[in-house]
Formats: sequence, C-alpha cells, structure tokens
Amino acid sequence: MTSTEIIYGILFQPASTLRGLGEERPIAKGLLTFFLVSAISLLFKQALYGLILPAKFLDLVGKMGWVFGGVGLVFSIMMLFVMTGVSSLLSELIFHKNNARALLCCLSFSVLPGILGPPLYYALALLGHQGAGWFCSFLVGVWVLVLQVLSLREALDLDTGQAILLYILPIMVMIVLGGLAFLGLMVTFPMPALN
Amino acid sequence: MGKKVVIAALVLFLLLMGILSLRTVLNPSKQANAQDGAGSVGIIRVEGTITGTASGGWSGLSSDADEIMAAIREAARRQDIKAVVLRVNSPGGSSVASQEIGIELDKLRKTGKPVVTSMGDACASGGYWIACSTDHIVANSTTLTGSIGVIMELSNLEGLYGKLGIRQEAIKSGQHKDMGSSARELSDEERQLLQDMVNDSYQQFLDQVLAGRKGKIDKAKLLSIADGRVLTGKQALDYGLVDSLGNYYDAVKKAQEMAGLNQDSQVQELNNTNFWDELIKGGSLRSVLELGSGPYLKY
Repeated sequence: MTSTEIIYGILFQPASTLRGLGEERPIAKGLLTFFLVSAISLLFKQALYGLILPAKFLDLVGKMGWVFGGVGLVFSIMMLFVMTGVSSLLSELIFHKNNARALLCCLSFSVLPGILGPPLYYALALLGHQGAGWFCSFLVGVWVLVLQVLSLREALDLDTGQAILLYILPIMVMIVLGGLAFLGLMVTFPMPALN
Repeated sequence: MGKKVVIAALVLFLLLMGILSLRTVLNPSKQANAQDGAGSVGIIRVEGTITGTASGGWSGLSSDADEIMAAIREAARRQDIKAVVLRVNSPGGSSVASQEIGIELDKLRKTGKPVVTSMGDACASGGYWIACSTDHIVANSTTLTGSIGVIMELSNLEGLYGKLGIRQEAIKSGQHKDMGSSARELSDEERQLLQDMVNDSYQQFLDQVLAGRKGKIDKAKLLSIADGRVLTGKQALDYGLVDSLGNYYDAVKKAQEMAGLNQDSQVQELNNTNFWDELIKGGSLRSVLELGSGPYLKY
C-alpha cells in the first residue's frame, strides 16, 4: 500500500485498510506515523493553550508546556507498546489468537485521524467557536478509539464483540485495582476525628 | 485522483493551521491579547540581582536589564496596555543596569501610562532606584527596602598570588590603568579616585530618590536614612519611601484605578520569555564569562 492509500484508507475505509496493514505489517512506517501525529499534535496543542488559556497561565505554559508535552510524547510511545503487549497477551489467553506485529502496526496507524483534532479545535477557537472546537476534538477522539477497536479486530482476527471486550478489559482491571488500592488506603490510613 | 485531492486538501489545511499555530506558539501573550481587545495591565517582573546581561536562565537568579527594557518599551508601544505594574523582588545590582531601566520607565510614564511598583520580599538599593521611577510604590509591611547607597568591592589577592608563585606584570599606558587590580594593594590616590566615583554615584542615587519621591520625603530626612541601611516596608512608609502597604493584587488594583480600568480588566505578563529563550539563555556561555568580571559599581 502506498502512503496515500494508507492515509485515505484509514480515514474513509478503515476496516479493509487495517486488515491490509495487518497482513503487510509496515511497522517502521507505522511507528513513524504515530510519532509524527503525536509531535504535530503537540505543536497544535501548545498553540491552542496560547489561545484559550487565561494570560496568567501563559507564562507557565510557555515554560513547561513543551516539557510536559515532550514527556507526554515519550509516554504515549511507551503506552503504544504496552497496549500492544497487553492486548496480545490477553488475546492469546482468552481467544488463543495472537499477532503482536500486526497489532502494533495497526494501532500505530489508528491514531492518524487524531492529527485533525487539535488543528480543528484551534481553527474553530480562532473563529470564536471554542465549544464547537472542543466538540470536534472530542469526536476525533472517539474516531481514534473506534479505529483502535477495529485494529484489534482486524489484526487479531476477532469479531467486534471480542475486540471491544479486549479493549475495555485492561481498563476495567485498572479501575478495579485502583478502587481496591483506594479502599485499602482508606482502611489503613489513620483518619483524624473531631469527636 | 480523488484520493490525492482529499489528501492534498488535508495537508493544505494542516499547513495553514501549522503556520497560524506557530505564530501563537512564538508569541502567546500577543495572540491572547488579540482575542480580548480591551485595556490591560502589563506586569513586568524584576527578579533577583539586576544585571546588564542575562545570567539567570531557568534558575531566575537575575534580571537582565535588556529584557526588562524591552518589556517596558513594549508596554509603551502597545495600545491595549493602559497601565504597568513593576513587580520587584530584587536586592539591587548593577548601577548602570538600574539606571537604564529607570530611564526607560521615565519614558513610559511620559506616554501617560501609570506605573505602579509592587515590592516583593526585597526591593532594595538598585531595586529601589527603579521603584523611584514609578508613580506609586506599594510595599508589604515586611518587605526589605531602602539600602540607599553605593558599594564597590575589590579583592586584593597579592598574598595568595605570592604563596602560589604567581607574579602578575602590568604593561600600562598610565599610572591608574590597572587601578583595582587584584595583584596589588590600592594606592591612597587610587583609593580616593574610587571613593570619588562612589560618592558621585551616591549623589546620583540621592537625586533619583528626591526626584522620584518629590513632596514625599525631604533631603534632610532622606540623608538621615541614606546610609545603606535596610528598612521594612512599614518603616519605609513612615519615612515616605513608599506610598502604601499592600500585596501584589493591591498594586494591580491601584494601577487599574490610576488608568481608569475596571477590576475585571486583563493582567498580562510582559517579560515572560518562552521555553526556548530560557533554554538558550540558561546555557549562554557569554553569561557565564561575564559574571564577576572586574570591579563595578553596585546599588
């Protein structure tokens, strides 16, 4: 697949394109796409903060925004590998299906529409429609989420229900573990009393 | 063909937005200002030792006079900035740098924009010189201020050089060309020459205070405290060195009142350097080399 076909396909024919990417597995191209999308989004987000944040925060954003953004960029790349690993492992354990290389490739490309979120938000904020900008950005976020589920489905050869389960299972586990940790902390933490 | 058109439109959109966003990233305060359009109070910060060159970087240990003057000029130029609050938290610094900032503040006031000083932990010596070039001074009751005086410090390392076996030779065009050299003791004549310089600078400092605090402190009263002593904000108020006690927000409110702005008007930082400026400044070799190079007058 050419780059044009991949970009167009991810945007307008995601299922078949992700299936094709899962078979071809251009991992280097996928990782480069993921990095570029994240880096370009960082630039737009920084500009967006300069536009929508109150002036008193601009100094802090000017100094720390890039640092936090850079750390976030590295973290998102790490999370891509973590998500691939966890999803592959769970798929192997639950459905006895595994294809980590295809999954990494598909998940990398699935963030492609995410490049539209911050610039759309920025453009609408420039026109004075900040709320609409936020909503567009939210819709793009949902779009990426759907593509990630599609990536799981196509790369691991699952049906849609299985892919959704695989996607939300780590999140559910995290929520349960977090809740348990919080409860444990509340039980053991000495609470001061006024009675 | 259709695919290429879609991709080209997408790339074009991203390029256009990229150019616009770069403008915002490179100058966020101006972009934000363009959004509101109403009158604003500009904040200019003077933090740490006042120097003629950048040396603080991320640590924020010094205030570069060039950067502060640029912010003052921006405040004078911009139509939306109606008043300025000079937030000073400085024990003083270079006499020349303080004077330069003071001159620029005087020019700003001539444009009709009120300037209010807000004193932080300290606003002494060179910091106070700058404050005297503003219309109103607000201090906290425990702010350390005053320290009206001039100092020049020299080190005589002749003994140390002798122990190390170092002997410095000076080939000079005149007898005072190496005046202040660390390799030998000052002669009486040289000491007097330097004392005259310090006295002259001190007189200029007194003139600055008398001009800036005209009608608020007389010469006799000023001379009684202008011996380098440090005063609290409350003491300074009693002597007439400051106009009122209060914090930063009181100073902003005062500036808004003086400029006829309402209290919801925007407050903008004018010398907030961006990340890349700070990074470059922090690593500047020039700033390292210029630190502590030779004797100079300090307020």
